[in-house]
Amino acid sequence: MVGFLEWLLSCQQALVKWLNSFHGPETGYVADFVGAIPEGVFVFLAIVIPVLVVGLGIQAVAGISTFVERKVAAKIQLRLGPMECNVGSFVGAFARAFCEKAAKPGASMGARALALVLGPLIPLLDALDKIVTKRVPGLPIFAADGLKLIMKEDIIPAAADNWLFRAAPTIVLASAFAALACLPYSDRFYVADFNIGIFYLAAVTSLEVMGILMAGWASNNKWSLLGGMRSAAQITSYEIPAGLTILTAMIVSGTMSMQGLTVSQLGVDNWQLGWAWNWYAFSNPLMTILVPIYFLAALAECNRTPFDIPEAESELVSGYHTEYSGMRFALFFMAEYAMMFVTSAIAVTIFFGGWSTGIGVLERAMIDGQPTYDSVGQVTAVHFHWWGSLIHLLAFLVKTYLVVLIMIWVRWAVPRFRPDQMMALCWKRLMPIGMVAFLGASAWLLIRGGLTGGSAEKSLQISQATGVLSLFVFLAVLGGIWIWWKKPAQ
Amino acid sequence: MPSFVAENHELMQYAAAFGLLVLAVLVVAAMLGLSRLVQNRQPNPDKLKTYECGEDPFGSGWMRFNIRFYMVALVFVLFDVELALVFPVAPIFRELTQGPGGFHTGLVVFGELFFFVAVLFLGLVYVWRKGDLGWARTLKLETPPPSDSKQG
Repeated sequence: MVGFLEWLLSCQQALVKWLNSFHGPETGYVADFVGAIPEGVFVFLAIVIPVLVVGLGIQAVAGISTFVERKVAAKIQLRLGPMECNVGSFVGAFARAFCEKAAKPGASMGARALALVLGPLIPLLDALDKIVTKRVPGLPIFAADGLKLIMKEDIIPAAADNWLFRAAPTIVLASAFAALACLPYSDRFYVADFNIGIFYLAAVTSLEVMGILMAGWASNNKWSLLGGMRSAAQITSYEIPAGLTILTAMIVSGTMSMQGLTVSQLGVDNWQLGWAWNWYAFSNPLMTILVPIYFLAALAECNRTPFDIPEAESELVSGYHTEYSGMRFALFFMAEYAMMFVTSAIAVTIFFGGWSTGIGVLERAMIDGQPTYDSVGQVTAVHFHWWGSLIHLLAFLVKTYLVVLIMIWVRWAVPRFRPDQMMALCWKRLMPIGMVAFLGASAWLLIRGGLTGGSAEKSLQISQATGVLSLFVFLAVLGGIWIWWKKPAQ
Repeated sequence: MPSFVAENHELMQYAAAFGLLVLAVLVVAAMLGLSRLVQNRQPNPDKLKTYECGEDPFGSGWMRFNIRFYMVALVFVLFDVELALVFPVAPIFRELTQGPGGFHTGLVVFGELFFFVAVLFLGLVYVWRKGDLGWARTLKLETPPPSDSKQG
């Protein structure tokens, strides 16, 4: 955001300079006007524009995710609807009907004018229809679903607590939205980079439970109440394994800022700089253990299957949103998909190198100037070319969405846990493992400090050795995925 | 860099977080408003009834019931405080241990961390052994009920 503000201000100066270069009276006035725009306006713009881009972007992501989820479910469960459903010529047929109507005597002038524009476009629309129905069948379901949700009557039960009932979806959505502020979308394009970034994220994402509890209580419905209570037990419990993971990431990287976490996974500036095996998931065995732990905790915090017991539709009707209908119901779902994106982004940042592409040669080519290092040769700050930042943005979004896809995949592949199994998994399995991993990571840092004695050379040697080891871990993981992928279906 | 930004660099970023909160409220308002414009509202007493699988609702939903994991909620508070107390140590731990002579400073800090987490771990083991992490805790009565009791 600060970088964006600087860019805006430099644009202002460049514009004034350009206008002044004409020496004309009119351009002079304009130049004076542009030059006189107070800085506060640009500060305001520098805050509002990124916020709008991110906030509206997440809505698009949430919308697309519902469609993707349907497609994945159809693939896994052989559902016909989303794979086959299409209406043939849809936009084209609509345009044709409209033009025919407009050609009749009683049509208004506006309709005729519109038909004049639409008429020549009909072949184009037909072609579009053909592509859509052939390439993305199931899109009409998605559109119809959105239309249905908008047009549905918004019912607030007479017995419900009116204000809490109205406030609940807002709070759930606000917690997911607030988390968007400090995700490391790219090394240059991000909304904000708090120095307590990951702590802020942990705090904000756990606000969601308040909204869910509120919804469950305010509905004055037994199903909702049970769902809300289950959700409270679940989300608060799974916050601890997630917190331990975050804590370990902080111990390993030595920073709380999301950008700092990402940069620290670029590694040491030698032949290994920027390669994927520097990511904590591969370079630190304790972090490798924590990957599934964080993933499970993320699933639980998003109320996703196998941890969707708060809304278990086969037990509790629909859990905490039983009484919600129409748009308010859609808001809960939007928040769920936004939350999936946020937790995936956190997972990508602390385990899989954030915006880093993982291709060392590419990363090195994108670096502008020299990186700075700390006393042990670890990269602490680095500046990239603007096109490198764009590639990073793409890499971050792709990686994050891959994790979201895995979450969707898990939903349709794994049955739901029982509440006591879910609690047992958290408290009796994940917590002890998380604590041991946390202490182990600190112990390794301590031993490493003892081995190097603070000397940069020895530290670099250790980095080389562990780097080669993590290269093997990385190759083993890739090989495992390859073998699993090639395994013949049974 | 302009003075305002230079002085309020860290603080100004939180304006973005606040902006996103405001945007969330605006999005909710916009979506509900749009829905309000196109929807057909015809409430009637049956529609506004609480859903209870088609039956007339039996009493209020605000009732007492066994929420099962209340002990877990209490333990959660302890562990969350643990996390909150370890958070300040975590980001500086690397710096402490990796510098010259860091091993000895690090040893003290690690010892404290280890002790702190170990005590909590013992607490977890205690709660686990007591059976408070399970579903329905089996209540073992201190004294067996008298055999002639009518209550059973």
